[in-house]
Amino acid sequence: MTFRSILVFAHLFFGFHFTQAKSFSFSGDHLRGELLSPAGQVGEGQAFPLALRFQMDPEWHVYWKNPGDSGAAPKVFIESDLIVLQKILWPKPERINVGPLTNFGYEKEVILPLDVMALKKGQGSARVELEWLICKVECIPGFAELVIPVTISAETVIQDTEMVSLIDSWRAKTPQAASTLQIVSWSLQDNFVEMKIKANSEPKAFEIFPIDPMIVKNAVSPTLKWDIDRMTVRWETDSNYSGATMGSWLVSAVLDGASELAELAAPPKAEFKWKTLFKALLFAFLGGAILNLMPCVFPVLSIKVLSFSKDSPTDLKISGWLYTLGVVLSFLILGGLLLILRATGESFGWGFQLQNPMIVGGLSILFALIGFSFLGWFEVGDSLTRLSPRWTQGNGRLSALGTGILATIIATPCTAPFMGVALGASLTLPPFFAMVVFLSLGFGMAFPFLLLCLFPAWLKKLPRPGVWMTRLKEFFAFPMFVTTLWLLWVLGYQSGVEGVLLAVGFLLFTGFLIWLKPVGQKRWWLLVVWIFGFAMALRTLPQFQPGPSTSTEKVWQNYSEENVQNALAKNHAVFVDFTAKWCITCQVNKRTVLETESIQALFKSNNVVLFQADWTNHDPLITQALSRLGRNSVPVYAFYSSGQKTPILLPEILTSQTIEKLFQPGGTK
Amino acid sequence: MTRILTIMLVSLSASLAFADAKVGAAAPDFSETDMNGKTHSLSQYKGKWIVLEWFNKDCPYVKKHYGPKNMQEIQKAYAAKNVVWLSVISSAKGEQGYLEPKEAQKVMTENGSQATATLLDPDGNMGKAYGAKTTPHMYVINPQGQLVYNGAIDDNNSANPKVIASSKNYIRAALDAGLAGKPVEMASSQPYGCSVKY
Repeated sequence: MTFRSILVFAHLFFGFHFTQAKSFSFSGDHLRGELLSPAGQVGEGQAFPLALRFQMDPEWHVYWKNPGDSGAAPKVFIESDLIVLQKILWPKPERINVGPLTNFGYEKEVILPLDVMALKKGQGSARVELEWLICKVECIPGFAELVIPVTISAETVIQDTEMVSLIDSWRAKTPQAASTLQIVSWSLQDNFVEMKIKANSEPKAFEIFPIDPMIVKNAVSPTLKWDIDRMTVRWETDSNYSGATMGSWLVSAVLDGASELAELAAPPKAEFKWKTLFKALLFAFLGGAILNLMPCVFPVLSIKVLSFSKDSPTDLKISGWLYTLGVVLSFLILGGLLLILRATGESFGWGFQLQNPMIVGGLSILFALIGFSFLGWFEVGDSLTRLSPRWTQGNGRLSALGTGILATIIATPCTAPFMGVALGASLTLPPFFAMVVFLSLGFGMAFPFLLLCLFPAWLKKLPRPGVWMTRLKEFFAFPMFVTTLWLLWVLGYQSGVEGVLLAVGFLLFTGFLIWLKPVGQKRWWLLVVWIFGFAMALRTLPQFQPGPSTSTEKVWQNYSEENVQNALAKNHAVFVDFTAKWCITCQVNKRTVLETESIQALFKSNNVVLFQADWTNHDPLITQALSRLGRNSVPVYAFYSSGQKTPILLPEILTSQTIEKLFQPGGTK
Repeated sequence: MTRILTIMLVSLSASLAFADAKVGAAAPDFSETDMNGKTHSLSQYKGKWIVLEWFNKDCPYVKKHYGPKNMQEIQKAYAAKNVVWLSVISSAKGEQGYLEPKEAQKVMTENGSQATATLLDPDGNMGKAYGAKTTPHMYVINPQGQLVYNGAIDDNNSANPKVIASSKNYIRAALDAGLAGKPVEMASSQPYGCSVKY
């Protein structure tokens, strides 16, 4: 029986016009399909409602228009002189992982609405050719050829309104033409692209898919970071990405009151902007200047300033410049070291020097000694704060350099809350510019001090020297002791009680040496004690080994990428706290927000799995995890809402509201 | 120092996990046993053009090109021009397309393969080093050992063999240009087909 004769038969048998609304079914391996055509007739020049429906067996999937690492999107050809296919509308796909590969596609069911235009009046048929690929792990292509009746006349008559609303419900899941979202800029850094997507409010959920192939690595999830009015999407680029254009992207965002799904085209490549660099330099400079007010830095410097009155103006100028040199050099060395390490292993981050228990132990002793000297317990006066050994006394130049270096070393742990993001960003800049930012940071830190050295006249504005100076100096001993306590606490977590004992033992020994100095006039006696001390040090120092650092509270599980993935696979929401004992901001956030009963209850009621990534000791896995998030300092707070593979990064300084907002109705579920 | 070395080693081994061979760079080295027990390495073919073809006998897209003898014709045409053609099976044991050496010999004889050799890569080492994603995923390596093409076999990702006649074959284009001493115009494309069954 030919097609025409079927139509004729239908026409005669049913006794109505043959332009019947219909679903035309087809099938293939693991798949049942329908071509949905709800209109009896369609007005000339109007949209011809048509859609393709696939229903797949469990675990089998068909593909999105960009299938990802393998696979192929369904194909539709319409052969007709009455209608023309303009485009296929693609609902938001899912990420489907197959081994090391990632595909974008649909499981269970999908309806692809087709934009079809009625060309001219007439009655006839259209031949619809379909090809699809359905895969679980193995793949099976399917083909179908359907002939559908087409009647184009003056106006559209819908016969199956239920079918129309079904198609419309899926049309609503396809990208909308109007969107408030916008890709404002993008840039390439090493093997990553960073895209800034502007939105009216902070998205409660955010997903992004590459529409164009060979731009990013599909199997790698992007990291997301919200700042004021834009989402920064950081994604590893495909090895064969050419770097010329950034293509277009499917972006899904749940915003205040509304969800948006949009296809966004990336703007042309942004040129390197001097303005951006200038801004980074300015902020680095200001940030550096603020560091002088840090509790661990301020006393050291203020004592130094107070001692100025003793020196001649020329000496002061030289000292000022040498101090600046010391600070800037230290920042450059730290930054350079970081860049080199990043280039080799991407395994260190800002503040990494505090991950070494020997340095922490050494600093705790140093700060205690500075405190003792402030109290006037020994005579060397401020020479210790200048890191100046006895044999260089009178040579203030070396000590100025040393003060600069010391100031930098003790200032870095304080930089995190202010500079963490900026430093993280600067590290993603080309190395040269990153170094310029470090230079600016160092110069900013040295600047107030340098200013006073260059214009000693300003010192005269300070109150005249007197007894109050001694009192102030003594008072400053106490911030030093607080710093010592903090460092010992950190050391306790790094090396346990033995480590703290060792550090305090060293302190005791050093105290003994200081006491011995005026007593033991015979030099050979001093020498014996020193040799004994060094021998002890060499023997015991290797025992400053980092112990296993575990999260102390049971509600927090130890972080590992697998554990996070497992929790996500079970559709739990996940909160990861990247922290370190030496990070004060982390401790503040923990005490005032994360560990409070209300927030813990909130986490519990929302079934959030809590992970703590403790970076107190050097841990390459955590450093790598941080780097994947585009950071290299702590604190970092990553929140995965349930079912989301990409985290939202919270601000460094947490408030309870920030956490509560994550769980507000209409939010991330 | 040891710590830094460890970190470097860790990052190195991590990068071995799943890399994408980059066009213009040195092709990743390999040393794999073929179905006849013979070892083939990249270095031994220095000075020759090499084509790598990822193969899975049950993949419809592989069948698309082997069924109408399209793949075999290309293999034959360039074998005549001294091009080394290595078909690679990276299916893991128990996965679709995995073949024991004897089975591979049978399959490749039956389909009339004209490849220089069929390499068996059941641990997926070679596939992952190249970032082979699909069957057939194709690579072309020049006599200097540089990768000059990475991607699909042609520009039509339909599984229907009928489209081959009207498709632009990227491997022919790359080899023709390369053998004539010209740069490869289309150096990379999105590979299509079934996922490699690692």
